[in-house]
Amino acid sequence: MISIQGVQAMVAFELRRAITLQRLATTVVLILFPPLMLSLMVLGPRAFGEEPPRELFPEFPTVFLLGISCILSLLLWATPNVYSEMESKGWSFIACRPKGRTSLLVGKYIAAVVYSYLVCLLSSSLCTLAAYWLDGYAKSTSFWISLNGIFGLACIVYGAIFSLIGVLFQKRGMVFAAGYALLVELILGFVPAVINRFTMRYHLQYLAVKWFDVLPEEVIQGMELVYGPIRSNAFHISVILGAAMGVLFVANLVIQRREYVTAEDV
Amino acid sequence: MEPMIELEGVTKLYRTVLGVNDISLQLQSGAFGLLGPNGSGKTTLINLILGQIRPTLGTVRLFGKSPWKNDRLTRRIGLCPTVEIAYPNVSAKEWVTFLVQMHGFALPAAKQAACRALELVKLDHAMDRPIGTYSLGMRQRAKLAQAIAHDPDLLILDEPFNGLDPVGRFEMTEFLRNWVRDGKSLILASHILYEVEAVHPAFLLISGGRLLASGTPQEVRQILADSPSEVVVHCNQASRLASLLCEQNLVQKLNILADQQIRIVTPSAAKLFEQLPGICQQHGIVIDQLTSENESLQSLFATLMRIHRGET
Repeated sequence: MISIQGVQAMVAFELRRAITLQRLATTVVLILFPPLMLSLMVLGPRAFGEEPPRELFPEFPTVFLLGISCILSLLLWATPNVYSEMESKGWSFIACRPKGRTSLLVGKYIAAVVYSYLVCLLSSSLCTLAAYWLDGYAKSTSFWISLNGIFGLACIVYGAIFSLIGVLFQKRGMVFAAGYALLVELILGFVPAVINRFTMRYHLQYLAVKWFDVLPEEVIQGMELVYGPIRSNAFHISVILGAAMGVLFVANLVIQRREYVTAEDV
Repeated sequence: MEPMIELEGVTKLYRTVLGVNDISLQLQSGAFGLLGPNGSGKTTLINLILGQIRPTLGTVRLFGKSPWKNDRLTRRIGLCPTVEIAYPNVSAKEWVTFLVQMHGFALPAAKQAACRALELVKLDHAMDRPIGTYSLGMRQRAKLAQAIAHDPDLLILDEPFNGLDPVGRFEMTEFLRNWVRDGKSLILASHILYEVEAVHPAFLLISGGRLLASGTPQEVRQILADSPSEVVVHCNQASRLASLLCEQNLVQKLNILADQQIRIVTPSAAKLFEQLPGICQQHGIVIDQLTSENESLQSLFATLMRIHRGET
């Protein structure tokens, strides 16, 4: 059972706490990094009298750059769920409230997803504007919608995974989460074997392929041969959302049963 | 009547570190001072009572139920832990409101309860200021406010006097006295005897993870009085007084520090203080100063540990 009031309070308090100079500075960097890099990819070649790359542009670099911002944002806000409260000594006050631990987990997860999705939303909007203004990109609206759909799902599922990692590993949570992102999602996701279907990247990648609709049919067939079959949107979305719910469920079981002890408590 | 807190053979191990060791006790509703030196196991005991940790051995019951993962019980408890608040950019009102909301209060009701609690601890004048601008004493009051805002039946305070100035200490003591007077229960953990004594609770004395003794302040004072203690006497006939005290078997160990100063280790301070005026009057000895150097919690615990080990 979840305390709706508790979760609401946690989300509101987390977002209120996020209004610090340090967090805002980090957020600005995460928002501006993808559109600036994308602009450089257009303006850089032009400075030397060349044309920017046309193949899979701006879709591929935008997804890649936004992916970095999205993962970094979730790493920063979702992973240290327990650790940040242990550090700020808030744990003792929150854990002794009814459903306090669950409210902390779910509230911080929602706040991290909302925060990171806002980063992605603003950044993708700037990327779309950059692609349109600088390069005359024609499919701006569908591009923007697809980007936000994919990164909405990415925030939901990676937020949950990083929350679980934060619950499991209080002190080295960020290291483990970064390790997971690199080893599992990036490297394992590229392995041409059935195992890559267990990564979330597999499902997000195929959703991107379908929603952007820029790859030629033969390239998609080649991808299917290497990475596995492309399925319906509903299937990929269900797997992503199901995985997020499942991971959060496990995280809740862990946070409920684990004894979190600080040096002061001993 | 069902005890408020019941512990049966409770031991808590943090891997190889012993938190508390084989504690059994039954507490009815009321006020209790949990006294012990730093690192004695007070916070572990509190966490066990709150259900934040499970005992390695034994059982804990709070209001007749196991507190582990029991959310209904947490509603009845207010905790003011020893840790510092570290939300510098949030105001006390926002923080306390948030914590009251976590108890299931709607936002307007939570705000109202938070303001009332902050007013009770006399922090209403600064409740909209960020906590980062507060003094240590103000942060202590904010911590107390969040503990009482949801109107709990049992208030647990871990070292609540830390960082308070004399006025703050007085006000905190008054507040706690009123709390007890209103018929609510209180557990007050501290390592300073007189702070706890001022609230007039019954005592639980814990050291090295063991419950060494419990009782009223008078009973604790009696334990102190009946324990070997050190007394330094400044008088006009130090050597004479020393020999008289030896004759009366009131001395365990004696040092003549100077012409007019002796240090006595007595097996029973109560007996010594009872007989000393008569001896002095009978032999014309004038005492200028008498100090009991170690009538402190530390010596009390040392004595209790000796009793516990069967050495006394």
